[in-house]
Amino acid sequence: MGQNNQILKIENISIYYGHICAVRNVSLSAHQAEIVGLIGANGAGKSTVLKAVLGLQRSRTGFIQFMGRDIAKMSTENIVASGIVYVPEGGGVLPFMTILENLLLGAIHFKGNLHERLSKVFERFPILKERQNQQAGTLSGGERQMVAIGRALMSAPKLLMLDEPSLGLAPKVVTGVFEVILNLQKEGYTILLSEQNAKKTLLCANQAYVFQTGEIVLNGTGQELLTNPNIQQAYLGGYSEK
Amino acid sequence: MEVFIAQLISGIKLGTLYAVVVICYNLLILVTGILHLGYASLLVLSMYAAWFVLNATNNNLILGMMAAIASGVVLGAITAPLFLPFIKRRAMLEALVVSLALGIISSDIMSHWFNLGLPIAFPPSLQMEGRSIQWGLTIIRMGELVTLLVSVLIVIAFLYFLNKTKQGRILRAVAQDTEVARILGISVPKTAILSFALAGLIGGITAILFAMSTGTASSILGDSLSIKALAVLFLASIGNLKGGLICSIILGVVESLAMGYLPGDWTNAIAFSVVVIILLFKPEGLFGEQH
Repeated sequence: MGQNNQILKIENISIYYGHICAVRNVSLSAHQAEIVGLIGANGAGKSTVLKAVLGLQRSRTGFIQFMGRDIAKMSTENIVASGIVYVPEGGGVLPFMTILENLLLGAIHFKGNLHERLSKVFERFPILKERQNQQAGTLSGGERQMVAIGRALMSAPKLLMLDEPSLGLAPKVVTGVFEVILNLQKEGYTILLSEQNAKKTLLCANQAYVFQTGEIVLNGTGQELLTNPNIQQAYLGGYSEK
Repeated sequence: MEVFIAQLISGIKLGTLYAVVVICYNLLILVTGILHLGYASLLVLSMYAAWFVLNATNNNLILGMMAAIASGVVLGAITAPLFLPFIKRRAMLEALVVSLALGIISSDIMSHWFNLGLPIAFPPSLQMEGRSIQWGLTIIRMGELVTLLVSVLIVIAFLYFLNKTKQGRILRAVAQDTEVARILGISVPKTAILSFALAGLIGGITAILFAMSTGTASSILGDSLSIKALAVLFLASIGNLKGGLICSIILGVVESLAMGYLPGDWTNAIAFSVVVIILLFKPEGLFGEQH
């Protein structure tokens, strides 16, 4: 992977909540059309890294570069406008708004043809078109995740960060979510994927980082980590048979 | 019967005026989390600005109205930054103190700097005196009718803005979930300033309407107005726009009928007794939370 198609470069960031260190000396990078997986237990610091990229948490050290620009001090508003979107855990769908309104809110910084963009999202998720005037609060968990990803795509982002998209979903729906993620990659989207479902993440990730209590303890390609005995024991125990 | 109809119409007019004020309270509560108790006093300050310009320009109505609207927007926009640090920290009690302080300061400005502290009177031409619609024995003054129509228009325009425009959606997103709004790239401070400016704009127009329909104002008008708005807010459930509309009109009609039939001014006592009784049995208010 050359330097020129590097989308995101995080170098040595550390984030504190008060005196508690949530993330220590984390460095990682993502290239064009890559899925980069962040795996590890709940509370290991994966979400905190994603929030730092979006400027919701600030690092005391290091830098965060997006397409060659240092964004560590930019406002969240400008970071989103520059092409990074974040889908929080649970999707962050606004329940008292319709699906259509939720989708339109994803495009507040989008400068192109809004109708075209909307029909592309509807093409990907036809069920959202059918129900566009329904309140988002009435949807199931999987449907909410569709709205959340659809809303993220409304701005034609250059980097898509998904935080636990499969959390709390039925196994069949989880498979569907990962299919969507793989399709997005095929279309050229760069995806930062934080997941507790290590097996499924490693299966589709080009690069993956293993988090433990705020630090990266291991990294490599998805294949390397899948066959790593330590990983198999710690994270893939239940899943590895299948 | 004629008295009843006249009082009813006058009550509906008063109610729609309250509704406009209550909408602004709700807007600020939903978007910024602040119960802006001083807002009504700022609105009355806009009435004073209009009065001042009317006096200075030999009752040029257009300039007087423009003064009210401009002062409303300016007061909204310059007071918003005072609240921003508290909005960011979600320190609502401190914000409440700031709001009260603004109300007290503007009341003092009105009582010290204008008209020797005496109530001000607006020129009869603003109230369109002499023009009225007569229907049987019921006479409706033109000023009242215009007030009613414009208030209804403000409510409709506001709801349209909130539900059908991009900026309106942004306001609603912040109101529903500040954290998600931030993730979507919405600037919460900018949205807060927008909501203050919008409340100021509506406040400025409402100031003219109050001047038109009552013809007078005094420095304590803001206090009684904010008390009434507070009653409606709690009665209708804080943050519930539709409930606020309905309860405002009920309050206006009850107040107007009480004025027509009961000796002395018991409206505040009655209104608040009803509020207390309802809150005892329905602590969340009549309409519950709604977005």
